[in-house]
Amino acid sequence: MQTSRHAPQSEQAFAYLLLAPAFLLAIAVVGYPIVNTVITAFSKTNAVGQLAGSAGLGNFHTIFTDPVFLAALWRTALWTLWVVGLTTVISMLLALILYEDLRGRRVFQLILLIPWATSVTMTTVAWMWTINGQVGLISNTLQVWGLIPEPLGFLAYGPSALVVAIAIGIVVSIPFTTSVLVSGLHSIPTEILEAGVLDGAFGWARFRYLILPMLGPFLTITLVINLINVFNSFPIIWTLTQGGPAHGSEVVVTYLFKTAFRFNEFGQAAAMSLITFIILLVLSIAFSIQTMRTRLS
Amino acid sequence: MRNPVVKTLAYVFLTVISIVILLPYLIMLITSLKTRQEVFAFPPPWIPKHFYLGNFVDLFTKIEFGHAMLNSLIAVGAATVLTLLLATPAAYAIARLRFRGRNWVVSIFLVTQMFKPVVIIVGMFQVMVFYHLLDNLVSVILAYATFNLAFSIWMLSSYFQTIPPAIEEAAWLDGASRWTAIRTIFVPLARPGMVVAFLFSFVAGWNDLVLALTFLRSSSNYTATLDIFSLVSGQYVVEWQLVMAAVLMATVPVVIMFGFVQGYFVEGFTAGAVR
Repeated sequence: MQTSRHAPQSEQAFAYLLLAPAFLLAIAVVGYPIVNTVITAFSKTNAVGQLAGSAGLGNFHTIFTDPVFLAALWRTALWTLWVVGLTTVISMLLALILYEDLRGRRVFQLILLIPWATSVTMTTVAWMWTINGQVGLISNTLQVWGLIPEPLGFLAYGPSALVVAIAIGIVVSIPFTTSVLVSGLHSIPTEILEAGVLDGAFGWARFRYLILPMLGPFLTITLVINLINVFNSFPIIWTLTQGGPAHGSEVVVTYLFKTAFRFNEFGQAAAMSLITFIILLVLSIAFSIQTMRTRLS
Repeated sequence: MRNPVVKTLAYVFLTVISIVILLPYLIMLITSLKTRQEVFAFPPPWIPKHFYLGNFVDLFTKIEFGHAMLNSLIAVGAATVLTLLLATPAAYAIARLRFRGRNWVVSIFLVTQMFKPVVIIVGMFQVMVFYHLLDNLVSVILAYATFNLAFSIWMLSSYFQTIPPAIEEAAWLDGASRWTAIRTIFVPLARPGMVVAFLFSFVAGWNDLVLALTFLRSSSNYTATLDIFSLVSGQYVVEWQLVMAAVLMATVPVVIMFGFVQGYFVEGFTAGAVR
């Protein structure tokens, strides 16, 4: 099928005809903005985002001397590592458990569908209300029971707000990750797993040397997709705190959005986009190389 | 799992995770059935005295949430249909046909998968200004459709490769044209893959905050997600009982849809992911 040299002309033409509409839309709605973002990153801009002459590397100089941006970059790394790391560990445990023929497994699988089917923004709003300090059910109940001296105030401080965001990030990433890992386990020949995955002194050796290598491709897929999604995740932090208070929970994408649409510094925002994209590209390439290497060896 | 200790630990773990996942949704359900007085009372009652449905009425009469739901259904529905209309032929070409540059096409679509909307939001904004589509639902329809293209093409073409070409070829021998064969033989067989692509695209659009926030200005154009965001963010007093009713309203249809196609879902996804 891949030997294009021998493909008849009519088949080629038919293929291009089928691909053309998707391609044109992609160029008009994503390709053009990508080019525009790159140009804007090297340009001066006015208050409505129109280009006003070349800025050279000026925008990059501005953002890399901006302590808020540098802090946001570091915070993004922490946020991504915590969410992806804990999601992977928890989902792996869940997958190993759900692989077993346990009673109540179906119920749990249904529970896992709920955060998956709910918009992330809406899940975040539900969490905001759950941990609300002024009139929230949990905060007030704990106060009435005398378990906490004053109302919960997670969102009033940058670091605690970020912890809440990380927790929500994990909850919304678990369903997808667990599903992929469960199907990964099902793809392993049953003779290998005949005694069940959790038996035998917790089966660490078997997990490490037998199951983990066979799960490799599935694990890589979840890691790559989660890394890209979490690194780029906007709605959780934007809904919780909009990066505040005082930039205390700011990550790159929230700061980028603010820089463009609050401070009207479109050039600087575009420069941040470019940096984000380069980081993502490097991460993805590193992962593909790693995957190929494990496949070859 | 024969070891009883391990089994107990497994159940404890499942229970803890379930509670953490379900807690906000339970509180959401409780809150949406309370009156305003009950919500703001101290100490607040956990269970409402009687199940009050007035919030769901207020959603439509007081804050016009029905309008936002309608906007979402129109925008996400149109975008999803557009995605499938464009992705299905493209995926067919990739899965079945021989042509020059096939590998290039596949790689380009995969690379665009890495561009989440927020990363190129500046360019997206400029382009929508250029097309004069700001504050117009068409802007989000085009954006949702395009951002779902890459994934849908990828998933559909992997699914299509699992359908044996021999079935179609047999139809050609019987004198059917290529189009007829696609319509009568291929499309029915491809339906499960298309259902999954539809669901993924729909959920992705339903999930969006950043594009709607950037393109839509007047509240009469807000999508459900953006509307709920605006009810919470920057408000001095949040009417939580209304917000929770709104979230519930906006979630239930998607959960029901998920439940119906759960089987397809994981299967279709892993077919796309692994092959």
